Amino acid sequence: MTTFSLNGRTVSVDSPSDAPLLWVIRDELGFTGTKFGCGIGMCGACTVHVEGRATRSCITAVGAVSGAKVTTIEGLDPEGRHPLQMAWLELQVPQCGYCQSGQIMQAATLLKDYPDPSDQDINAVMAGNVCRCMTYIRIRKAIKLAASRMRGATHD
Amino acid sequence: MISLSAHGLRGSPEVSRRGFLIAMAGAGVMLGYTRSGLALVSGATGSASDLFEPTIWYGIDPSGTVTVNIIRAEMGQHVGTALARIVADELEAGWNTVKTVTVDSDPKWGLMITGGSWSVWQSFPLLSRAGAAGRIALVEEGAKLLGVSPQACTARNSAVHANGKSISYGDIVARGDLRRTFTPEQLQTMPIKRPAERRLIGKDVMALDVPSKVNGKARYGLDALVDGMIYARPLIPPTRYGSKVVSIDDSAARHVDGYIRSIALDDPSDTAPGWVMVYASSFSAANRAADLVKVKWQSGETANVSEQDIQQRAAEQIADPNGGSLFVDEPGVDTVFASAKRKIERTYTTSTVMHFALEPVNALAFEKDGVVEIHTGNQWQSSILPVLAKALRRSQEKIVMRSYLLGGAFGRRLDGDYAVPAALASLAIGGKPVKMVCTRSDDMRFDCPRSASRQVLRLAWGEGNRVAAMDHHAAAG
Repeated sequence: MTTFSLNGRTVSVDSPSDAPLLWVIRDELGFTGTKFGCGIGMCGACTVHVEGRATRSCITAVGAVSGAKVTTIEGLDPEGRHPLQMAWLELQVPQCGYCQSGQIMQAATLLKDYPDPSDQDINAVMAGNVCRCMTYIRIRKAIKLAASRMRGATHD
Repeated sequence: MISLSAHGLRGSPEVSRRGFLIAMAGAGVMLGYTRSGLALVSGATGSASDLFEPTIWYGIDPSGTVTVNIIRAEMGQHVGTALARIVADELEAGWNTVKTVTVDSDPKWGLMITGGSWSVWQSFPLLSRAGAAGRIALVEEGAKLLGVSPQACTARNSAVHANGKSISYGDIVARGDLRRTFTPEQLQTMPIKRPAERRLIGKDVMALDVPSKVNGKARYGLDALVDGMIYARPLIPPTRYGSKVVSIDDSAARHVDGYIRSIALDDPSDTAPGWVMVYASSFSAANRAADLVKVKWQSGETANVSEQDIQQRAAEQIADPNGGSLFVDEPGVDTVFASAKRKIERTYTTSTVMHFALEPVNALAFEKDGVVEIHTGNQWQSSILPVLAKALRRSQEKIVMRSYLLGGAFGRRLDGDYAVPAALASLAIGGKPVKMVCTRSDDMRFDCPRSASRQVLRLAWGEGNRVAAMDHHAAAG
């Protein structure tokens, strides 16, 4: 039995402690916004937050998050209106959309560390999140748009 | 890789000699093309169930919501938005009243394929006329309800307006009687807007599929879910074709919590020959167990063919003067090359290219009331249904595919081959719901890649430094 917090709620699962967090979140707990792309932490589609840090859930054992706070795309903002999500909508970033939950979760961590990210910062932090549709240009624009709004909000 | 032209799929479908029907259905109104001839049946104003077995393209409910049925696969091109806008523009519907529904593989939808950059231009004649027919009917009925002549009316933003009065489409549907038909001739001459009059097509808009893709609510094949579902991961044989299972040893897998069993599939369609399915109560258990199941195969004859072998074979074929077939055969080319003072020869190669859609191929299948349902994202249902029928030993009417978003396609999902082992996996355990998920490595091994190719181009120059002969050989596969 592993107990942790998922999107603000305490959850307990019977899965073996070495089961990947990804499949526990998806199949046991029903949060399917987090995707499976490679299973080896190389594509970023499975990115969630563990204690606020972007984490590849496909290579994270559920036992390793015992007692921790885990956030998925469904829990990033209660209304789905995080500044990144709004910027993603405004610029219509997604094409097939499959990688986008992971992209947004990774970008959310990026903005905590780099409130005013340069192209180089974005490239460095986002490089592990693959988009087969090549939406990278809009992803970069959306991150900058969200960043500028979040900085504005902080100053207000 | 699939050649679309090889399947006779080039060329444009016609609006054809189909009529168009508008009928009341439940509380709303449904609009669609009829099967050939049906529109001409006099007094075709019966109940909706009589009228709307034919292809239904869209409906309007009493709240004014326009629901457009989409028969194309959504894989990042926002095709539902593009098609719905064709209808909505001619219908003069407000864009915020429009939603789309992705349909199943019922034969009434006709040829179901999404590819070749065809969806929009091929659907335009059909959908624009469908929209216009709806607008005309709404204007005529709206005019009656407003007590004015149809000529005095303008349709705009989901309402009919005349002399300062207006009535919404929803109210017309709720209060009016919209039953009517259009003959094929009327459809052919249906006035379609000139491009300058378009209000939606060509204008910036929020694609209907985008919002659910930023909040985790979008549902892909991998997210398909039914009660009582178990999971399976395949063990894929050494060769795509020709391998046979000799033995399965699952003794180590039996220690995995949640492991159920392993079964060698029997596939009459030869789509997934030599596959072994490893079943478990969760995908992580199936995945773990699959790594522990030992399968002995009798390999197909291509088991040891490498990329280099394919290139070598291509080089040999090109070098063989007696091989291959000629598209152009000019006599004397060899003579020119033999005597030319200046010649050049270059070899161009391409490697085998995988599709690598980010969502590995997967499908959920189960049997319910004698019908096998397959839930997956696919681009070409019409192509795989006959294959499924052969594999599952049942008629196509007893198989239905339900569509989900595609986590990338790039042509990979034109081939619905992955639906076959999933459906067989379900039937092998009595039709229970089974979700087959390929891992990334399974997906790569089960791809239908663009094959390696080799081309040799030779040129010879003659008098005046002009090209006198050219020789171009190509080999692929």
